[in-house]
Amino acid sequence: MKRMLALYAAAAYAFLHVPLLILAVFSFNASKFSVWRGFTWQWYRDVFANENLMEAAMNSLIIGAVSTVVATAIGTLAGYAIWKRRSRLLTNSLYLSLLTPEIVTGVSLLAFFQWIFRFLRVPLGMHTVILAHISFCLAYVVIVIVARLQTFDPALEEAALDLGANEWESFWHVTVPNLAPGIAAAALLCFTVSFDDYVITSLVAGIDSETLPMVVYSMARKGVSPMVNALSAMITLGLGVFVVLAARLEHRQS
Amino acid sequence: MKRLRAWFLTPAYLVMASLFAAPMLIICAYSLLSRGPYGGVMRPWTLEAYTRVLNPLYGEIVWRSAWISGVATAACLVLGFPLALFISRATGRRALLLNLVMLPFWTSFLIRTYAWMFLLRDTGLINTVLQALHLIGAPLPLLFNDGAVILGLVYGYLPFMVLPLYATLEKQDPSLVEAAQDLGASPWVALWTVVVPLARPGMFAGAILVFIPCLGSYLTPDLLGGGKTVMIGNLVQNQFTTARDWPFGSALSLLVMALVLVFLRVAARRQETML
Amino acid sequence: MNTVLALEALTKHYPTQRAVDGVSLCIQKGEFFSLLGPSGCGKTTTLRLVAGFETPTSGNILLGGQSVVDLPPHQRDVSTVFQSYALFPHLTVEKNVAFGLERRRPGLSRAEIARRVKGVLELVQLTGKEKRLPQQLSGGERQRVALARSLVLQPKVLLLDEPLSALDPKLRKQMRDELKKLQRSVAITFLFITHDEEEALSLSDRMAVMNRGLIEQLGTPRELYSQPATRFVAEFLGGVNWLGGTAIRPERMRISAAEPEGVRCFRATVTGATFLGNSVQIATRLDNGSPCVVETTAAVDVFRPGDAVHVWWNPGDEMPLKDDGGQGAA
Repeated sequence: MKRMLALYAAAAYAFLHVPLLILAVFSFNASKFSVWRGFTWQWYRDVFANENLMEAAMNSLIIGAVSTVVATAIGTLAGYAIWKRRSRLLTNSLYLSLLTPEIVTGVSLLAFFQWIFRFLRVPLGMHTVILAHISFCLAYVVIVIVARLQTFDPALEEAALDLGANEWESFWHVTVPNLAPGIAAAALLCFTVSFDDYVITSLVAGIDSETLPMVVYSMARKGVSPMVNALSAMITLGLGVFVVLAARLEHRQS
Repeated sequence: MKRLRAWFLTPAYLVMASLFAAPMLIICAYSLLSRGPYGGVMRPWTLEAYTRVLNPLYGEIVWRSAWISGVATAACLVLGFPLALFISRATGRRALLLNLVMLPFWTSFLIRTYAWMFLLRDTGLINTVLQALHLIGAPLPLLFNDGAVILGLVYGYLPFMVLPLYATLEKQDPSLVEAAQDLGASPWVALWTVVVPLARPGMFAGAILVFIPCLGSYLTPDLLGGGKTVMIGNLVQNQFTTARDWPFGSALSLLVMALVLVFLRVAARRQETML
Repeated sequence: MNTVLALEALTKHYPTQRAVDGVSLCIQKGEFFSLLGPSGCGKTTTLRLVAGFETPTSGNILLGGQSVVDLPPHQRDVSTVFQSYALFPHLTVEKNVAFGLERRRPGLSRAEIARRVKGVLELVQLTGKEKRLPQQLSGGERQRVALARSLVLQPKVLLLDEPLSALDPKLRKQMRDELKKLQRSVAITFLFITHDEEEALSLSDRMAVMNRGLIEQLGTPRELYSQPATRFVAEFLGGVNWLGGTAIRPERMRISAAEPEGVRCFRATVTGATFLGNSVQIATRLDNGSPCVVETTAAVDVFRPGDAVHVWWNPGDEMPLKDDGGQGAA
């Protein structure tokens, strides 16, 4: 039976990974169709030559960077506080935000921002996207931080206090350095989630704050284009590296 | 220590209150208003949105969403169990095997959905290969139907089933399987009489973790279903964009949330009784 | 001779060690046979080889005359009582016990299964607890369910992997007696693994002492105790005093202040006395420095630390063992 399981597992792993590999392979195909007609970098060149695409990619990077920094900071503080003494309200609302379907989060944020627009005359744009991303990334950060803290020895903080540090110093000089790999892992994960988001972003983005997923989506909607294949390969590789890094950091003992 | 803790929690509370709770409340309010001329809402307050929700036409969409999600969840269970079993019995390198399952999930969901568009379309790889092998004459309509959506959902959420299943299977006492075999059960029978029944908590957790996102999914039915497969998520999105019926969209969103909460409650209760 | 289980040069090698290194023995039908030894000696591995959870590197296992080495566990007519009992947590007591019967092909009728389950539960004194779940039972009760589950199948050999080690000492003694009685009444061959010499000595018809993958000695408890073949066996089964190259058990030693007549004796000084309830242990040091422990039922007040005494034994009470220095066979 062990052999059957191993065979099945191989098939399952193939199912999970082969579609993406195929995309990557065909991003080099000198044809729009699925018949192989030779190797080419054409589509990659097209991607980088496309101003619209590049601008959207830059937007995604900026949004990702800003929301990651903010969400990681807030989430680390919150995760630490929750670990110290549970906050049921916050924990439950964070879990709820994770389980809420993206479409519901998206429309609720859209409604919220429109409502604010009435009073503050603030239109939809990069800032609304960033705010939205902070909101849905927060839960991920907290989960990673709390998980990491489970393996943190509270005696270290007590020792710091005993030696004369106050609570903030103990946190900053003892807990945070020990938590650093976890914080980095959370940040990487946060960026990945933010970079990839389509549903929420498409609803709350303004006219001139297109993100990369939005461009990919509209291209995909129009039909399959090899440029999307090239884009997919690059994005997958990039995010994949991030995720592997994050996993390594999460499990590294500091 | 309390003061520090309170201060640490404040930013998170702020974010949750302003960017999660408040928007939800707005949605609740909007669901009770009337649609505005250019989208948005306006007075008078009314329950009209909710009566529309109860329209059998939309009931069909809700039912279909539930059905598609159910099939996808069942498929994830059937496909995911042997994989989780394999990993739980692997000698060494389990973390790597698990990560290999999770890895695709953490890259772009959009791209992963698109990959199936690429594979399933008329000029896609599958049809091309089948035609080249002369197994079919004309391309099969693999894309833009319920089946494609289910496939996309399974592909997207399989890791959510594998993880909790693995967690449960990994904790099982291996001597139970030995005892079953010792008493005369072949490995296959031991699997069905001991391993599977004891894995029920994991199966349940996985089912919830797959079913709920499937129910509220938008991208997968949108890209892989063409215009034909309309699930609740698509309907909601439509109301806030093209159809410009925000009150109705809000009411639908609350309906989805209500369903999610109901399932969560059921899951929590079931977990309690199982422990 | 009615050999029910025979092991022939059974060997199990792992990359880092030789767990079982050529074990041969024959167990007779209806025997209570123990494998005794320290942890790591290979007794558990031997058990698992017989049950079928490990495959031997070489050697043969014959059950009722037939080799079973190529059979998977579920096809061997042996049943194992696991150290952790391995009761199925999702099944009631009666479903646990019925499990093996339900696997039988051709099948037994439900009525027949129910009858046999009832019978064996009566045998282990668990009537009334049929509908309970394992989590709701005490340690001793769980052990009896494990026993019942295996017994009801009436296997050729019942394998018991340190079944009493998880119980507290008082319960252990009680279960020991019950186990012996049980074995007698069902007349099933028991292969019993333990590291506790008291258990092995009190329960077995015959026993073997294992060390580092090999059997050091095989025989009746009496034989092994009073005529140990190696120093390891002697020291594992009880205390050993070495006096002038001869080995004597502490309880065979005699002690007195005055020098005894007509026997070879040694001068010693008392270093301590411990009251054990039913006996007294007097620790002494011989004039040449080596220790000597005397166990006697006489009153303790007679000897105090510092007293000069004589220790001796009656000829014939010593063990036929020569001082070979090392810890048994390598």
